[in-house]
Amino acid sequence: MIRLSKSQSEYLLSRPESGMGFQLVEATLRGNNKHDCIIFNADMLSFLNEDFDAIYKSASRRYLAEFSDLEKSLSSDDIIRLEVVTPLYKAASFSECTGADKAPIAYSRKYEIFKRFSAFANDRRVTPDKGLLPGTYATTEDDASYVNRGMDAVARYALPDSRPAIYIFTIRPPEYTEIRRGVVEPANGQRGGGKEVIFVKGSPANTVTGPSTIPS
Amino acid sequence: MKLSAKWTKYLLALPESGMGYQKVDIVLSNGQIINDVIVHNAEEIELPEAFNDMKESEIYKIKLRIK
Repeated sequence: MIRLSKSQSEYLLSRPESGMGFQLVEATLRGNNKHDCIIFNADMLSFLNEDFDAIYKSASRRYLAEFSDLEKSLSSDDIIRLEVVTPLYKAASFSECTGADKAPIAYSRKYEIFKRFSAFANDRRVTPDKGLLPGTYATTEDDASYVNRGMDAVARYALPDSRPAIYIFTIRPPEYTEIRRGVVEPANGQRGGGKEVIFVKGSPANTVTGPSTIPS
Repeated sequence: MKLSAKWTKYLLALPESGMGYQKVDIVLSNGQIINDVIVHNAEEIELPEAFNDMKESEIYKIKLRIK
């Protein structure tokens, strides 16, 4: 493990924990190599051998990475940037969740983008100042990439509307926006299976753009 | 049926049930309840056929369904 500098510890103490007593972090080293790490007590860093998804799924002490050769060769001076990956174990658990409404509160990550499919160009959940109202659903940018047509969205997000959801709004919330993440359950005669996100308290002004359109 | 601004405003203050829609129960002035009705975009309500002639003024209350 690597003991972090005081300033690095102070930064970490200003960020939320990923779990009790630890933070999952992306560390940038000199040369701009990035590594997934776990940091205990905001001062002891260990490089991870598994990705964060695997760590969460293991739900065990497997996340305790081995004391690697990399760590032996480095000190805190070699770490030029630390970025806490906000409760990623929650974010990573899409496949294990049911609907987002039953999921715990999680937080959006820095630069994370979401998409909302709608049959309405004048989607009323988008506020006049281009935010989102509390309790509004969307999906992740990654999941939206599976949707090429409006009817794909109807099936993937189990929408009850027989009209194709051809309007796509893009949401860029600030980091740490409260969300719930889940997987769309079959409903309304549709299979579901897409990722869904609820913006618990909405998204602030000027975070929504669009709509763009896709074919029916 | 398209809802008036009064009900749309009310529904927009409530969370969605899924992307772009809400599931609600509608309580009518005569005490009748229409269960499990979909509202799209907080304004378009999908009524069962039996209620096709219903007027908005007959709506007493709209309750969001808890899943």
